[in-house]
Amino acid sequence: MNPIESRPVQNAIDRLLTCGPFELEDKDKAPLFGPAMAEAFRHHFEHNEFFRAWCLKQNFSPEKKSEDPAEWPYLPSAAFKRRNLISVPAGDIRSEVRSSATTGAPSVISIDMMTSRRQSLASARVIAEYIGHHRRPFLILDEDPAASASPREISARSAATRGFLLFADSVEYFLKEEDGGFHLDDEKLAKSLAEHERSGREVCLFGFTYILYARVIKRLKEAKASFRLPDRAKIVHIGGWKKLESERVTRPQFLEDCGRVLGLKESNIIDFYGFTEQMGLVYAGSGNSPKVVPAYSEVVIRDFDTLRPAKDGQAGLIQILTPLPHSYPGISVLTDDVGRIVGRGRDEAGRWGARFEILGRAENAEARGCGDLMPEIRTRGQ
Amino acid sequence: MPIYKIEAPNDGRTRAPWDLTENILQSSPKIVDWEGVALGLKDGARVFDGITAGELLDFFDAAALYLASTESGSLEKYASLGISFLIPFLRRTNLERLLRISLKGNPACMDTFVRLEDLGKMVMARPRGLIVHWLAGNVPALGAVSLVQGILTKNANAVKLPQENGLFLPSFFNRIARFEHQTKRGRVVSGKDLAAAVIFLFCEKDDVESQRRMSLTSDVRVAWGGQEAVENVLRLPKKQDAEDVVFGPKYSLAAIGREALDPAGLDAVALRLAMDASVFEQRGCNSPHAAFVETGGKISPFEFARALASAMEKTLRRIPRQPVSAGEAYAVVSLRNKYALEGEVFASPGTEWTVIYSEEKASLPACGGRLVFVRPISDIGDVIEHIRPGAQTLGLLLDDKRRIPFAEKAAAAGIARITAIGKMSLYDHPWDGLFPMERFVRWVSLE
Repeated sequence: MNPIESRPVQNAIDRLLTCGPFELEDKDKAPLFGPAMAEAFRHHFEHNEFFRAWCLKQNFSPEKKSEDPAEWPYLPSAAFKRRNLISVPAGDIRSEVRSSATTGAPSVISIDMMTSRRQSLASARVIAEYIGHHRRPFLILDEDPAASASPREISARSAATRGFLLFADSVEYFLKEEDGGFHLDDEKLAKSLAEHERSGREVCLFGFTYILYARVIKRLKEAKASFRLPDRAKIVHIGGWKKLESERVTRPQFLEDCGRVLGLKESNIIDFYGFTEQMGLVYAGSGNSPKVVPAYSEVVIRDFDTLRPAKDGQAGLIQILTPLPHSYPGISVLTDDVGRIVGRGRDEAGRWGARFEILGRAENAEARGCGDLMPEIRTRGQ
Repeated sequence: MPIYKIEAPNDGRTRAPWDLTENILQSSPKIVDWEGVALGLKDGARVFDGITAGELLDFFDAAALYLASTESGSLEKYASLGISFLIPFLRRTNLERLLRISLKGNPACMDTFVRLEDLGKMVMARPRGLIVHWLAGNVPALGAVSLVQGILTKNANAVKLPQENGLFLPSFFNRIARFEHQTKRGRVVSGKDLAAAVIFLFCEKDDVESQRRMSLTSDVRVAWGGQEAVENVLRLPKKQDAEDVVFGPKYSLAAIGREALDPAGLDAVALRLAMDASVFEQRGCNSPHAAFVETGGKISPFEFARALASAMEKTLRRIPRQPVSAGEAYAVVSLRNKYALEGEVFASPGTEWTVIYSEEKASLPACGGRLVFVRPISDIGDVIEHIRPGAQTLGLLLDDKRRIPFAEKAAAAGIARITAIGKMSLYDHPWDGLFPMERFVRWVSLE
């Protein structure tokens, strides 16, 4: 069964969601995306006091909206760490997603039914474009989220994982939390991989980039183990590259090792990018290919110095606009990720949309001596 | 993981980047026998036995004049890296004063025994041996400050470079190493000879083993850096009698009394503070990140914030902005967003400068990127609450009557330096509360 549901068209946002993610040329996307964004801006402007005040400070109101998405105000992702921003009655909130927050406070995103539905639909449509619509066994290199505490509070990690499980007909987890850390069940994984190798049935390995490489691929490589998974088997990985890069593992090395150990083609290794403040919107790239922007969002790269849109090819902060969030004003978010546009139009696989690369994270400037500066000027007693 | 010897880049390099890239490291020689290299450096430092402190001062004075000349091309080449600060630092008028203060009033004690009347005996200052400098990349010129003081005190010097701007110091020192100066006595002091006692190094920050080896050979460990960086150095094992000189993370701020501001002088004060906050892109330990302005005067703190905003824009034309990092850009946008609804934000359209007026009482973030907070205070004494150990420079504008009592309280609270607004961005001594050269020597007495 096709896991992507269909819904009656009700408004500009839903109209946009009836489109396939990569079937719209720019000229066809603009008349759908612009009104959908206008609708979303108006909703949050009218129902979120903080968002309204912020827009007015930027001298922006729904009446003054520009045709150019780059002219619309944006919230830095850090705004979602400072307060829980809600644009619907509190009773409508079904769940809260919290980012992992390796440092400082986590982002907290409140999700209502409408947001959840839109995000699930958009996410499923994009994922299906890369891994196919059918279901297959998923081998998850993470712990079982059933072990997590509250059904209302969801970690960004398990929320991201859930989006992919629409495409699973069976799920196995291979990490366990023990002694405050995660441990891989090597034996169980090796057994499962061998079984899928024997059966020839398509399978999907899913994991966070670092864990997948450091805990699985690297260990299998060191053990000189190798499998020959079926032709259409895939690796789907999400999460940043920073930790791997710090261990001097490059993307080509990652792809080569994954391919060699599991017997997969590079094009079947798919890297997904997304972030908590726009949960559900994912951007994928096969092998070394860049990420493609679907019809449901627009990417603007902001120049570090001018904050104006950067030229294609130039690095800057990634801003993403999408009309999907209804319960919180995450419709135009400046992330602390650095990227660049590397192409537009139709890619080799026939997908329409801007193509971009993630270059890394905008790290907080390290406080150094002469010492540069301390991270904050503290008052006594604090 | 290896220790790399970093050599001066091809002198054709005229502009950034000065970072130590993977390519540069790959082509740099690796040091296997560090302990042997350290001994060789100490051996090289014997060249100082034949050079007097006065001759070293003359050499650096002449080198400064050469670096300032059009012929050297240094002003243009190192414009964004603090050369305009380094040249006056190297002049004899500055270094001799520093040496005199650090060495009991007589630099000649570096050359022979001199009589200290108060002590009733003769003393001589000897170099401690090998100084290992762990540098930070935020203000590259500071590495030269550390190194020159190491040479003046006749020590061997190993400089562990930062990755960011790590090529600046080898390139800069290479110019000094190629310089020769004939002293009044006819003696030629050669930069090449001095360079025999200097080496530039790099190793990864998580290469604890290499740094442990460097630390164990050090007679003085100079650590520049943030909290984590200096703590990492201090955790390394060291010789029992090795000296530590730490320049850790610092912050600076300004305080303005109510009677010190009037409409006629407002723009001038604002411009001076804007200059202090813009030099070195506010990355210095002496860069102000907040100005506390007393209420009840002819100019309100809010009016001062507005005037400061205008001055920041004027200063931008005088000191063009260096490219901002992604981290700084994001931090600036994030803080503008936070305070847009909790204060008033004055800002350039890009990330060039930001002035934030805020009445909150909590801690102030210090993010750099020419971002200054202006906060109202009802009494100048309230500033003391914001001064803790780690505070470096306080730019003070206050009437004479209240100035000394307030300064005493600020000193007790932990400030290292109090100066006029407009002079905060000058680097002078004592630095972070100490005279480094005082710590780079050991004393020998002779009765």
